[in-house]
Amino acid sequence: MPEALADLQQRFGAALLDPDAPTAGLFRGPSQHTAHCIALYRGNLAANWGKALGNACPVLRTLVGEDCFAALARQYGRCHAHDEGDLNTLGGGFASFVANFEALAPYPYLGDVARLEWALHRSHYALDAPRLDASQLAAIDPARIETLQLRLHPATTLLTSPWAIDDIWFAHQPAADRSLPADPRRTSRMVVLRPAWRATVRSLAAGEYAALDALSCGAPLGEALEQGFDTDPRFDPATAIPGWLAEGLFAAPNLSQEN
Amino acid sequence: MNKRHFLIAAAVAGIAAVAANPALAAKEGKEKCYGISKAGANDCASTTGSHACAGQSKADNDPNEWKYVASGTCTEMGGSLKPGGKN
Repeated sequence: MPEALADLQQRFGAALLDPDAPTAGLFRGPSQHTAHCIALYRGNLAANWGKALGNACPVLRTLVGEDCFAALARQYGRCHAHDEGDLNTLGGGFASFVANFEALAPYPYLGDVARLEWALHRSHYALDAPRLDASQLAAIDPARIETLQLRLHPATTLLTSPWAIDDIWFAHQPAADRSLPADPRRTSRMVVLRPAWRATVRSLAAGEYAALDALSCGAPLGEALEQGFDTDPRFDPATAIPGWLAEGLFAAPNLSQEN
Repeated sequence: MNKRHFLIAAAVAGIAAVAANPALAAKEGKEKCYGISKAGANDCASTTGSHACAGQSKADNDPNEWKYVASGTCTEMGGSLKPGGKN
């Protein structure tokens, strides 16, 4: 009696992910033919993982090289069941996978590079929600500015790392205006943003990072600005805030809730 | 709270400066959107050649240990490092 279709499909799925799984009878014909067929399926699956992850993390791919990246993508795909049809969401756990991958331990900044690239990838696909603009802020009673709470725009992400991942990222851009750091040991702070259509990165000084970080955690504006100033007295709201507005870092307030 | 007042005053001044000059703020949004699309991971159309889907007819080989050896630009930086910034 032939194997039930559901069982055959289960076995096929398992064989795709596990090279040691039994493959006998998965395809008609001699066993060598079956082995060849399943190898093609596995190869295509791994290539799709590699393409999807390489699309999200091109700098990491350049950092580790094609062979290593392809091997990482295959290992990640095998270990992380992806239950969505959208390959753009495949890499949600890739940064922590890379950070904990033993063979890459001599390059401990790679996980944070992947984290930065994943934030850029998510920023690219983030909802195009309305932005907070100067006229909305100017309409607010100055007495209420101090207690104002702002929300980051969906395309905005703050990151910090003990490694110079901003320099590393910029050094790999086509119009590279920074070179690879000779020593990547430097604390970096940055914002991933999408000012118009393109997701990009801007390095932040410690004060500006502290203020934005406080705002993103829900601190009122007065408190956030003070945290920025306490971190670095050079932090100046009169220049920082116009920059934030021009870059569209914040979402427009939900007026129905404000009233 | 002098510090807080000073910071809020600076914030209000910054907001007023941008609000008074909306052209400054609006310029950013008018960038032409040509060529901004990023190749999607789901696109089957090939960017590299004749095959529609990535890796077609590419048979799987079991991963070899040497493939996990990083050989790209990371080898140009800092040698062997350890997390936490101490070597």
